[in-house]
Amino acid sequence: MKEQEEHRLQGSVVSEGISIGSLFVLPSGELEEIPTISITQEEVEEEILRYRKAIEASKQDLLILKENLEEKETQGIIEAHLQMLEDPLMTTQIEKNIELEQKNAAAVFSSVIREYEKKFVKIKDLFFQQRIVDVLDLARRVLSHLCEQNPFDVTEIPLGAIVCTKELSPSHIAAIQAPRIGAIITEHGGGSSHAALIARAKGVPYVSGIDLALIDKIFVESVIVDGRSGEVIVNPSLKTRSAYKKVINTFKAPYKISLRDLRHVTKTKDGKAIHVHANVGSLADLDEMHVYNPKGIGLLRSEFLFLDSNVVFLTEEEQFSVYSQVIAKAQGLPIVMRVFDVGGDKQMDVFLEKGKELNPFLGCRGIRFLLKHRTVFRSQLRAILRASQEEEVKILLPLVSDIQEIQMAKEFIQEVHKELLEQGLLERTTPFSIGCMIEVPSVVILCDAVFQEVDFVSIGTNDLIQYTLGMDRSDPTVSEFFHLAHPSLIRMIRSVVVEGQKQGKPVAICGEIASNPGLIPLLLGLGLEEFSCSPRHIPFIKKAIRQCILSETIEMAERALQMTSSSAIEGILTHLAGT
Amino acid sequence: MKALCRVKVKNSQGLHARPASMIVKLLQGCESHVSFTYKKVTVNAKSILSLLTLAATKNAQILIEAEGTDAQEVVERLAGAFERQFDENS
Repeated sequence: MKEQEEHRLQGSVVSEGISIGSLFVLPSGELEEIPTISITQEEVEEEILRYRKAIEASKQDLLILKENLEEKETQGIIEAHLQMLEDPLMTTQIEKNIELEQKNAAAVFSSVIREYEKKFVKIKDLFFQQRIVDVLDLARRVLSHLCEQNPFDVTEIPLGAIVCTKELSPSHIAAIQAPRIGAIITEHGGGSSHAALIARAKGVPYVSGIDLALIDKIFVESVIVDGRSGEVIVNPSLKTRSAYKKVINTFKAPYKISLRDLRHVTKTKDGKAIHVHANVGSLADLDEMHVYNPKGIGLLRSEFLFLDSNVVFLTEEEQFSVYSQVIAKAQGLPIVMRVFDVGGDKQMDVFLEKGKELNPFLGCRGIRFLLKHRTVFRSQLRAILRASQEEEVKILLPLVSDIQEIQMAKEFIQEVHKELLEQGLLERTTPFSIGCMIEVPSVVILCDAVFQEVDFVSIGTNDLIQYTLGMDRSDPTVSEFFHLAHPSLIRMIRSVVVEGQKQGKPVAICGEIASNPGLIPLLLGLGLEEFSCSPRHIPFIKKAIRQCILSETIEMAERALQMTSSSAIEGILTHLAGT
Repeated sequence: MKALCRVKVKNSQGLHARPASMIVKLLQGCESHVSFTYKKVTVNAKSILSLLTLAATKNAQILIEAEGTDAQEVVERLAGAFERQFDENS
């Protein structure tokens, strides 16, 4: 048999690792990719009914949202969306076209939407031009209901397949949870997206920035995804394959050794106890983590628990049920629960709607979002407090940028606590521990005031790096170390640690920097004693800590704090690793 | 019967989603066919999606035309709504 030609495509690394497998293309459900199917005269009536059902389901979604979101501005927008669903263009027009063209509803619908979209492109006024976003939003909702009637089955993915799609949507992320995925290739996305975080936590290689049109043209027999170089090799030659097989084997070896070395207490060589916690984003993570003996759950990303949820609005009861399961699975370990970090461009608004945010103008993230949408905040807090009862559950506030945000959040949490006590749903009177994420430069600078308001902090280096350097982490031209070992980051961490020590409040670090054994000596030297990383990385981090002599790391950190370039800092780290 | 009226958009943000939504609501149950014309483009005023494509900004002059049994009444109500800036505080 003639061997296919090898093709190499260059993308950017989102998650490390190497995988060889067959390609599996995920349907994306985007407007441009709706297939057109001809139908017979007899099928027209049924197709029109299917369309009406999708419109009705969309209306129901919006009505649920309307009921649950009290904000006036949002109410007005939902009203407008409801009217759009009754617009003759969306109803009689489409039904007429289905009959005339004898095509499937999804195709007819998307072509009408695209015609409509063309009219907007001509509008010069930016404000008005943006209104098309609302319509496209609605269109996606209707399409998702139309396609639900032919849902995509995750078990269709062959074991070890290299999954390929334009961009990973929240519903696809459920597919990543499945252990069967060999690797992921996308055209867009990556960096700090949810999909990226999950892929890294699971150790699934992920390369983004690949032009899928190029792959389309090739008859693909097998693919290698190189999560170190960012290359995707289509139809690798025999020579290439064997070279990679060797590399994969060397990857696996050290992992087995570390697993033996898992003790509960982690101490540096000179006896300093360091705590290693787990970052958790799913119930499965909670099951898996115990074997690594984490001190606790240092970061529970609550929004991740509901990524593949099919509901339109997350009720308190549903959340209560999930959080209760979380606490049961934690088996008594302390939990730091970060309340929903969503909004803005973070495509995770399952409790606003499936897919994109309800209105880009409402784009605000993290704690600001929750303070603005108090119904959402209240139902989550009520569910957390009720599920926690006497357990050691701490509340972590996301993306805090201002002291007032902390004060308002604390007030609200106290209000909810009081409410639950009065309703007899909670017995505990001792307040819950409240902390905030340090991921925005403003709170680094204001950390003395921050510590006055909170019980603990958690440094989230992923976002902190981006906001400080004004740079996108997924930029392929810049190495990872440039960001992770950046002098500004090192100094920021040190100032937060010093202030925390001064005020007697714990400082944890939970960004991806904490999953990198090479940086452990530096982080220890800066004074950090609490680390949280994804379960899979825990053995490596514990091993790295045990190999450190604290006094030496402190000396090294002092030198690093004087440096002004990443490469200089990287230099002393490599030097230490070599000795 | 037929009725028509010229109105001016007084809202600072023009005829965006909220006013369009109010217009459609106002026209619910109205018997007449109603159209808006702006810059030579005529659209069905009962279709919110069509109203949005007009992209009528502040100070836009719109011609309202209604045809049907309640044409006069509907035109008057619409004119009133435009005058009141659709109850926006801006």
